[in-house]
Amino acid sequence: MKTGAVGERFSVRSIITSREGSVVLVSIVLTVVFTSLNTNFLTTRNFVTIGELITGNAVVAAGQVMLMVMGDIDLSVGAVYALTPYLVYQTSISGMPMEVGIPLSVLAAVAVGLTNGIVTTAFRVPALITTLGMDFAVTATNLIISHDYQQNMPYQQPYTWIFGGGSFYGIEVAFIWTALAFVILAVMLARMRHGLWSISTGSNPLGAKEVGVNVNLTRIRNFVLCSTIAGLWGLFVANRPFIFGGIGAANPLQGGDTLVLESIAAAAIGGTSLFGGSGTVIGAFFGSLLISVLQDGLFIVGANAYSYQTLLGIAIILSMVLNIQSRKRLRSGG
Amino acid sequence: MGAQGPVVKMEEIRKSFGPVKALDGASLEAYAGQVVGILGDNGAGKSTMIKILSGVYHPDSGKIIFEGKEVQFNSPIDARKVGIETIYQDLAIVNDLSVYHNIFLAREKLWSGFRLVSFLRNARMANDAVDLLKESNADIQNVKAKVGTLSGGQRQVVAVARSVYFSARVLIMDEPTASLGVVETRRVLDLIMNLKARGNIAVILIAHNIQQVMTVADRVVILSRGKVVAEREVKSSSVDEVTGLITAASLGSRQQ
Repeated sequence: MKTGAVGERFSVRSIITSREGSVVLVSIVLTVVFTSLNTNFLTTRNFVTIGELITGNAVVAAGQVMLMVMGDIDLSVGAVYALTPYLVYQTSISGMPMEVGIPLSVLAAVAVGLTNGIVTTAFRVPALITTLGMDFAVTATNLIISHDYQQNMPYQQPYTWIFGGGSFYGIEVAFIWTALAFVILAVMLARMRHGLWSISTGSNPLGAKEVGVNVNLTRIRNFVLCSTIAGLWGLFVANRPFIFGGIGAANPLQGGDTLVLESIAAAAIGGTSLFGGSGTVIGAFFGSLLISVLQDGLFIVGANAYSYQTLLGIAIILSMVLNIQSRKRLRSGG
Repeated sequence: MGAQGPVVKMEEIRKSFGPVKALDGASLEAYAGQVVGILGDNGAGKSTMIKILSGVYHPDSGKIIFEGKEVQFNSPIDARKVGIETIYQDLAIVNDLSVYHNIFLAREKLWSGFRLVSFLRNARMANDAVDLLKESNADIQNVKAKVGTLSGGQRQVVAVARSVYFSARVLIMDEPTASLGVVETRRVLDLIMNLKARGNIAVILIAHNIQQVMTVADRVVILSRGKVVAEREVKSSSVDEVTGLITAASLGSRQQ
């Protein structure tokens, strides 16, 4: 189901030919392939691993979707992702309790998003440039304040538990936040005024402005949203306990360019156009699922580490070709 | 002119852009249930005239009188609030949204009770859009279809329907048939006749094609170099006369 096409009928054919459906189908095919190569793929333990990979970056991809439907993008998510855990660590060693340190750190992520949004809208700098500059600046800040050293995250309940360090009936708390965030973001894009305004901003900014859409406010909101998500999920992953593959530490290289590129890739594979106007939150989830299955599967079958990147590259290009083709069909009325 | 006064009246409007006098004391009246066509060569001031009336530009001097009261517009939103709707050439239509979302864009029907989070009442908006389009005899089958899949004429219909729904008193149409084929043009002209028949909307039409304007308009105003050089009732005039007037005005201005 594409955004805007509310209440379309479902049929087996429409599910397979829809963008999200085809991505799920590819993920299933990959699962079958990887299982036939190594039976360890189809185990509960491995599904937990895939869940961990998704928890780490899928919501950031969804945040990226909110920007991409407007024709914007955020390249600073990887830097913000490493910034917040460090700020929590720093505020903690300077004697602040976590109930102060965590809000301050998240506020820093909000401030980064707000700066991205204001610079992009007020000075008409392309988001690509604003957030590229921001990426450099925040990455450097991370390295300066950390002296390039990894630090153990402060431990204080219930904050550690809430912000990614806990588990609930065996499920990672951060995974629950991830599921919740997806529901909220999907509703926001497809069922709320903010989503409608975001899509119209990406599709026809001048026209949307003419009819009364507050284009600049909509853009700033989404920059703040995306950056805040990156800050929160960076914190969740830093607090992640050992049983979920975490190390409970703030690492200046957490996130980084890999997260930036994978979040954009997941959004693009999920059917979001880079030119604005179309995209879905659920698509970002499935895009992230596909990337995670690919990454995990190639690791399990013992493939060369670079083969993942090769295949990811092909997947990105292929999905963009599909996007452009489907938009052409829409334009020509077919 | 009818028993009532004009819905909107522009008096002695002047507007310069640097050394260029775009409007030099132009006046215009528009009456409910009537179509007034603005004609003139390129650069005559037609666009400036409607952009002032729709709140895009602020006049240097002159008055805008809406239903007997002087009004000032600082933005297109101000103009829309009193009921002056403009359909621009680019239509201000969002291709990636459905027909009904376009009709209600920026004036969405929301679930009350959630003040901070604005949930859309999609079913309600879709139903209203169906009724509205039926009323304007539009051949748009599916209000959930994306506007990008519609033809130029159908998009024009969506833009008009939007203005009518939000009880426009004055509807400004800027070159509504510029990019349309023959059949589509016919449809848009029919649409204008329908609007006229409603009797409560004043339509201001700008077009290059004199023949088209004369088909639907009650009155034409001819602009040249920022001034109204002639005004004719369509009933007692002809395409030839109007063409002659425009050509003469245009040639006259070039000789100076």
